[in-house]
Amino acid sequence: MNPEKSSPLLRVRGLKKHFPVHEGLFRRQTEWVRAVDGVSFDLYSGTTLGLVGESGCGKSTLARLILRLLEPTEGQVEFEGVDVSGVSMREFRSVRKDMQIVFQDPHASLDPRMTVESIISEPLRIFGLNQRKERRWRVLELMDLVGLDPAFLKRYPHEFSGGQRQRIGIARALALEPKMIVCDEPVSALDVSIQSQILNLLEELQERLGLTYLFIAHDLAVVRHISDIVAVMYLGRIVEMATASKLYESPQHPYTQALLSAVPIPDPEIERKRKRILLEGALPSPRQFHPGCSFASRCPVVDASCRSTPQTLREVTESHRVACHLVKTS
Amino acid sequence: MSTSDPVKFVAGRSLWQDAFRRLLRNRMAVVGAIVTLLLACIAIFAEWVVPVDPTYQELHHRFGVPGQVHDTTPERLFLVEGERTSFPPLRYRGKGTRHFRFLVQQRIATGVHVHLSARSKKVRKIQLTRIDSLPESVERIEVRGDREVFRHGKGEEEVTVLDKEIVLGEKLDDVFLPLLSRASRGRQKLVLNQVVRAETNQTLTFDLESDQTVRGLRIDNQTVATYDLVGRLVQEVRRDGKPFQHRHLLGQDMHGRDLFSRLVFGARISFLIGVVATLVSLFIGVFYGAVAGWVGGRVDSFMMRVVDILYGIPYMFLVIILMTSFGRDVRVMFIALGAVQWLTMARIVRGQVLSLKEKEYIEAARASGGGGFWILTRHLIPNTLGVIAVYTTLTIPSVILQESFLSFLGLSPEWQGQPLESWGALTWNGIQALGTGQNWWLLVFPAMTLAITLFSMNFLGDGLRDAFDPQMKGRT
Repeated sequence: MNPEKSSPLLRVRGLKKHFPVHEGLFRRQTEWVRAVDGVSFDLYSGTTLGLVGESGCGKSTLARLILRLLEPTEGQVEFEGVDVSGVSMREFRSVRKDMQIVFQDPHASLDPRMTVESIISEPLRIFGLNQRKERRWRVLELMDLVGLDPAFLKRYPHEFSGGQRQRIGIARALALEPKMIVCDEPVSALDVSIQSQILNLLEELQERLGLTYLFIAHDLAVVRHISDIVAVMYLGRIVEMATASKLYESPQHPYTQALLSAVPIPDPEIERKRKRILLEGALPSPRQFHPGCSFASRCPVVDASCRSTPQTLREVTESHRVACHLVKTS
Repeated sequence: MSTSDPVKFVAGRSLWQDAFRRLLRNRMAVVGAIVTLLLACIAIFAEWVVPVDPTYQELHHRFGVPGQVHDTTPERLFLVEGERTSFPPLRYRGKGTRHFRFLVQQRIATGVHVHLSARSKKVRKIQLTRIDSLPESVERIEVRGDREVFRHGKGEEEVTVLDKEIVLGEKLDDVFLPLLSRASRGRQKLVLNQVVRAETNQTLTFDLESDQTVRGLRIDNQTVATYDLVGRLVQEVRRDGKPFQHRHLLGQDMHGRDLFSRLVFGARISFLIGVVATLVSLFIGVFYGAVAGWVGGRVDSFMMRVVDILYGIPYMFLVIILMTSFGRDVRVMFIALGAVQWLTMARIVRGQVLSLKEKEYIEAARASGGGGFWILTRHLIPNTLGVIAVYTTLTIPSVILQESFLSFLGLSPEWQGQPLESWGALTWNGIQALGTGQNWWLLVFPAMTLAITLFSMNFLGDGLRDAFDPQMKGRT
């Protein structure tokens, strides 16, 4: 994996999404929720970018901004070298073919009134791709690909288990033969035993179809398992980004360190000796504007300049970038 | 790939099938559905169900007791120069041979032309097969086909039918008038052009045979000059010449009309108003609610505040004002009742759309490139249909009840100036009749019919709601 030489499949620059907050009798707009506040990264073809962060840090919003299910407030999204953030929805339709999404909740993401066939073939029908008969073959092929019994073609989502439903969701995402799939916490709603099945399926599909994943999760072990590069998000910003092994072995940002220290170790001996970094206070409201580091209010190593100096991602070692001025560049 | 083998697809069970199974397990709902369907069939096929035309008056049997059997009585005809007098339509099932007895009570002068015309929408052939007990004084009977313009489609066609003069003494067995109509909707007329010189109290009997329903005879008295024609009687009789017998299962009203037949036709009107007004409310409510829910934001707030304000208006008051100011035309009633009912429909649909549009599968459809129309037709409508169906079945009985209430107040709807006698109007007649004696059946039967209908429809609606939304079972 040496992606730096080629141009990235997906290039995100300074992406922002601020939601207006309306309050009071006349619903005047009073504040902004800075859900995503200036995110930049590159995603190279055939690789997986893992995105971790606690609930409400803007992971899912980021995914929806990239797919333009939400309109960004600011920033650019380039797909295959073309800026797609400003184009009209009609022009963006052609990009949709190459960018698909797998949702978190397999119960909510499948229309309960549709059969498996119509769910999986929906993207094909929207784009008017195959003829009716061919379409069925394509659906059967996709079902086979994701490990669903083709006999279930005429069944309804409520007749399946969570893992099977997620397979249906993956088959739907694959229908248009996309180049990139955004996985928005695809395994969070599943049992642990099923999680690994789905993860293995995703890896297998990546290998066979040369897919690129933007993989969102809050489970650190899951992300480590599947990702080439991991980005840690906190309050709408990426605070640390590195290759999976580097990030997990030597986390640099105090938030990442705290996050990793919270992972329990399945060995009672080591677990007892494990030192946890306990963060003070709760997640601050994303409504507030932080001139300096957004983590300053909870950071154990905070100093005076943290609250005023804006923190930007900078390379500390090769392919390891941290947004903290306290981390020394080697 | 395994798909090259013949795959047997396992048939899934859709939510609709699931709901249907749950509905079948609900005994009250099934009973309600059967009763409702039965009543709907009766309303649709009213003509085939009734024994007597609901407007047929037997003034000799006013306030006939339920279950009473009696002969039909001859109708006295009052013929006025230049005017047409209708023979009362006795039965709807007029197919086949019908026999009529024409009783001449008074002397009729020579040269009187009495036109007997069988009027029907669908007469193929009217055959005059037999004239017996001909008064001796009758010199000549002239059977003449009239010239009629038949309307069918866009063009008009003039058909001349057979003219025949029957001389006295001639056997009349083969005399018939084939009124052949290619345009089945045209009205046709058979003219029995009698030149009669009759003595008092003589009867003339003749039969009419028709392939299609004959809705009674009409006596067309066009050429009478100066003679007094009061006091002739016409009666439809059985084959053997004796009068028909009628059993009035549920009794007769103040004009001697059969209550059962009136209830059957009342069902048609009540159901029609219930269904049409509900469709009006469905149309407005679904559209309004879907727009409010889908657009959201300020538009939604504004639209829903409008609904709230309309909710505050006492609706019966509104309906009464509308009906008194715009007339009692049934169309006004449809609009007035529909305009009231759509409020709840709009709220329900809005709530449904509001919750649906946040669902991930809507987002998934958008991510797959589906536009607004695709999402509306493939996801939103199929997923709201269940709730709409439930609410519709619950709205129909409530509209029927409201219409009955209005009729009960004397605001019964009209169509082209004719009052439409729904169940509510019949109940109101029953209440009025109570004042003139112990005519309990005129109140009890319409009221019971109404109650049974409303019960069964509500049971069906509740059952459907439980079936579509099992979590809501037991709640309102």
